[in-house]
Amino acid sequence: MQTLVSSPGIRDALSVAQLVGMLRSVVGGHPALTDVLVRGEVGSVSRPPSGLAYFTLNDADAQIPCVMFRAAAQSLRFELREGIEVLVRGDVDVFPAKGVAQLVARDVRPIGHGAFWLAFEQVRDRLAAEGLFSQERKRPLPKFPARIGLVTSEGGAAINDLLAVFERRFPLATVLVSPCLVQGDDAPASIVFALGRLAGRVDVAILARGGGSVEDLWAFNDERVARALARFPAPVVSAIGHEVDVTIADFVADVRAATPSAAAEIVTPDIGELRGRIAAASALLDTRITEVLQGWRDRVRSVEGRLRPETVRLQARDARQRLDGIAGSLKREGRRILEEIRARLAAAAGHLDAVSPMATIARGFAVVIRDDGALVGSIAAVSPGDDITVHVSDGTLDAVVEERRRTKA
Amino acid sequence: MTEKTFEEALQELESKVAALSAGHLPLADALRTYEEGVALVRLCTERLDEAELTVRRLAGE
Repeated sequence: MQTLVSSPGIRDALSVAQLVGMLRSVVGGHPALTDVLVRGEVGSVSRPPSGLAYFTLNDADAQIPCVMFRAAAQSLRFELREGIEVLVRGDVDVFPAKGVAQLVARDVRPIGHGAFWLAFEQVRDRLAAEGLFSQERKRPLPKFPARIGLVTSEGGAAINDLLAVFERRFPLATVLVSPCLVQGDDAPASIVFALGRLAGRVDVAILARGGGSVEDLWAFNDERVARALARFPAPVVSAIGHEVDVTIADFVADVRAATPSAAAEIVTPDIGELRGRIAAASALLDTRITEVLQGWRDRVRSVEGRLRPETVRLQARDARQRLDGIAGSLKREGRRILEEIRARLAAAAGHLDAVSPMATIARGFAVVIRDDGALVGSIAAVSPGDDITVHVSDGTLDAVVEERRRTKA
Repeated sequence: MTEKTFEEALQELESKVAALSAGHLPLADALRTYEEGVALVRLCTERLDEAELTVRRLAGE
């Protein structure tokens, strides 16, 4: 019986490494297995800390292990998750340690209905969990931005719309245009770079892009763009696509505008309103100073009036004119009115008698008047030797003060 | 000293109006406030009249 060891061909047997090496040399670099596009469903996913991504790609009848190297894995726009239908581009190779063929994936994209939204929702949910969209993070816009930054494409319609609005509403501003790509794979990095170039140089920035398809606007859903917006030192207004388009950048921005023109209006005061404020202030200044001056004029007049003899004459003239007027009306209105007035006067005189000092004097009291006409109410008002006049009920007595005696208290 | 910004000039103007409207100023202060206010009206108006949008392009930095 032949032993296995002595059997023919044993010296020609391959080592496992040799076999796998041969397999690899056939499979690896084979034109039909290079740069293949495969459609399938993601099976189990493993993402170790090394940065590589491992997953299986399945369909109903078969599966193949896939690997993504670090650079490719990091540029994924969405999270690899079991059950997602994807399109994988890559090269087939053999993994020697396991001896199995695997697909080295260079790019993985979700496919089917809502593929973009899947990625969108994944980024959105992750950033939301970090609080990047919270209202507390929103910064107020400056009222008078001296420097406005624009991050947009130089070739687009958005920039012309923006500049036209600035020109019309707030030509006091300086606009710094930081051009960037707004679509394509390089757009996110370009936007991040353009934002960085403006940081610290503007009071407010606008990130703008005209309308386009969901794919066209995709750069604005990129996580790198979102993070660059969040760390930008000044408030940012986003104006991406049309009003119906909402991107991740809109969630992170301090203010979201429906269109680029609307963004320009939001960040600028209107020159017409400013002119109105100046005009209002100017008119108020005039009104107030007129009031102040009128106040002072009135005070000066009233002091002057009390000092000037012509004021007294003026008052006398006024009084005379009023009396003349009354006399005239009396003539016109006739005797009846005159009688009525006489009767009223008589009645008033009766009242007057009752309260007049004359009634008191009639009872024996006297009124003493100094020679200058002043009433003497106190011994201090006269000195010995002064002439005084004493009024009694039926006449006057001329007298001279001989002595003053104070009444004992 | 740097030049007043438009914003500063406008705020100063409006605070002069408020000071004058409060009505407690002595006559000399009121007149001075008025004159300063009028100068600010002129300054603000001139700034707006002369304003021309400056656009600068940042690239390759």
